[in-house]
Amino acid sequence: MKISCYSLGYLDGKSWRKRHAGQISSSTARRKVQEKWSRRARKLFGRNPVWLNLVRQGNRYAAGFRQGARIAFKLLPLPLRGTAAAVLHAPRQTSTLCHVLRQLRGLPLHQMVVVMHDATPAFFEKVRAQPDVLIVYSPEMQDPDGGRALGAKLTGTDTVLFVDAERPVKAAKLGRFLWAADSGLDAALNNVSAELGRFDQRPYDYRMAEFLNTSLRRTDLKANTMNMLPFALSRRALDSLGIAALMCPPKAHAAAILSGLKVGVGGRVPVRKRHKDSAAFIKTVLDYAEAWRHALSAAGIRLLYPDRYRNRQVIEEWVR
Amino acid sequence: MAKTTLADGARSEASGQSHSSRKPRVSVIIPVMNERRTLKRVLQEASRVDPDTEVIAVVNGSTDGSLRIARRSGARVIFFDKPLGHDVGRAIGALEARGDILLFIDADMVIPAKQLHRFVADVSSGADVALNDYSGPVKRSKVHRVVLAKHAFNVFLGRQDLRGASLTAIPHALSRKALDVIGASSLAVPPLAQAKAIGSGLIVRLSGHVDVGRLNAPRIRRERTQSLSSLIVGDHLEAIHWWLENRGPRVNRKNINYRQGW
Repeated sequence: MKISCYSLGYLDGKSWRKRHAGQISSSTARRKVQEKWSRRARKLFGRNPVWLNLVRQGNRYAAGFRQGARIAFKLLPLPLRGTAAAVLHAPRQTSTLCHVLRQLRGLPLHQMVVVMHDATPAFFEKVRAQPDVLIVYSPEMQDPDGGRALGAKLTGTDTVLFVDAERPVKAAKLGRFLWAADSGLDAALNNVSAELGRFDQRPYDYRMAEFLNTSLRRTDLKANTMNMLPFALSRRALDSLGIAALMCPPKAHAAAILSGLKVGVGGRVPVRKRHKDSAAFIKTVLDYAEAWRHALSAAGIRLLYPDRYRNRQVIEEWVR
Repeated sequence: MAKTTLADGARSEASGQSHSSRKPRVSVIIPVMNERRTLKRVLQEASRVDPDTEVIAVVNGSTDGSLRIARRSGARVIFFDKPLGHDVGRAIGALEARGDILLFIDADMVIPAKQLHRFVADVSSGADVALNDYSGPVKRSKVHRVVLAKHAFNVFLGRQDLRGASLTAIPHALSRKALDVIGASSLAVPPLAQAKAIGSGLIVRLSGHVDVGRLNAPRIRRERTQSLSSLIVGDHLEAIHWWLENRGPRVNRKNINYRQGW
């Protein structure tokens, strides 16, 4: 590279400031950086860029732009072709939500949708004070999956990122899901494999997750399904699955694989150590049951695992 | 496939201890296919499980002299000239069994009678299905898909306490009542039988621990060939399908008692 990304950013920032003197703001600067960097990065890094390099150089470009334009803003620019949104379900009053939103604001998102069902007025105000956030207040929407489905319905972007509102994750880690979905995956899943540890010591739901993938001949996905946050979906996936499908993520996961959508891992975020009460666990089991119900009715009761060897007839004859 | 029985006109040959039509307490069912190497010892241990035992050997597709060994042992022998396929012999044997307790073992694995007795004892003290408390190698991050299927299936049925125990593995024992409830033909697809047993509210319990992995490493290796492990994965799916058709709630999720076999 003849000229550093920082210098590129600096020059771009400087000329942008000159041309728009008097009418610059953080938000216009962010938009400009995202737009410029998308074009530049594609030229600089070609078709198969290395993610870490994209993050590093993107940060440098943004830092240069800030200096050149002499304006402060927070952004990790990503070379995206399309537009992106994030959807969260705020389960209850939680201080982590604001941390999560702060990280998200570091990403080139066109929309952030927060679905709330239960909030004190003070907390509500606090979230409302956050810039660029669309709040959906729906007291009856207690189910997080339902909440996210509702949130997704309000997005119109090419990619939608579904985020855990109770766990702040660095912008760069989340951005990877967006990038993966923007550059070809229809469903970019969280790769939790590395931290699952010994099989016999894992929470039970991972067994169903992994077996669902095995059922669908996708052992490569291991225990990664749409039942784990975060994940990103392409507009193609949202349109073909339908928004309502998101209310049951394992079923949406199975449907995505069966309908030939491109499902793969987008990034790696440690899963939240959660204590699942029995109601939550039952919901998980029933959700996976719906996934199998869908798969078995769409692709046969043994899916791709036929029984070619047994002479079942002989039992019938024997009884007679 | 033509059903071939050796005894003229009869479906099975009875000899030895089962000449009378009196009902034995225990029936031990052993599918046999070319298992000359271990068969004699297996039959011997089987006959010692209980003082009042009938041993039923379902010899199918055997060409290695297994049939002769079975007949000499005094067991009841049911013979098919062609292989019946995995687990089908168990269903046939169960249809022929007269005992109150049915014990299922394989002909390629010698398990001492004392260990087998535990399964019979558990059924006689109230269990309807006594499973081998064997969960496969699971102290690792990646498990074989057959092991995964068994574990996931039990979680799915609300019986995670069973870990990886499965009717796919031997030994296991059934009460006469269990056989009547689930039907002998289900035994040809063991996970299906397991789903029916749990779904019908039968008492399904972990029984003795027989490390079939250690006892018969070559067999375990065989099970892991593509075709057999595919068969077993498919069996679990077929069983899930049965459960969803017969047990699973379609609309109302609220009134489910998951622990009671939802």
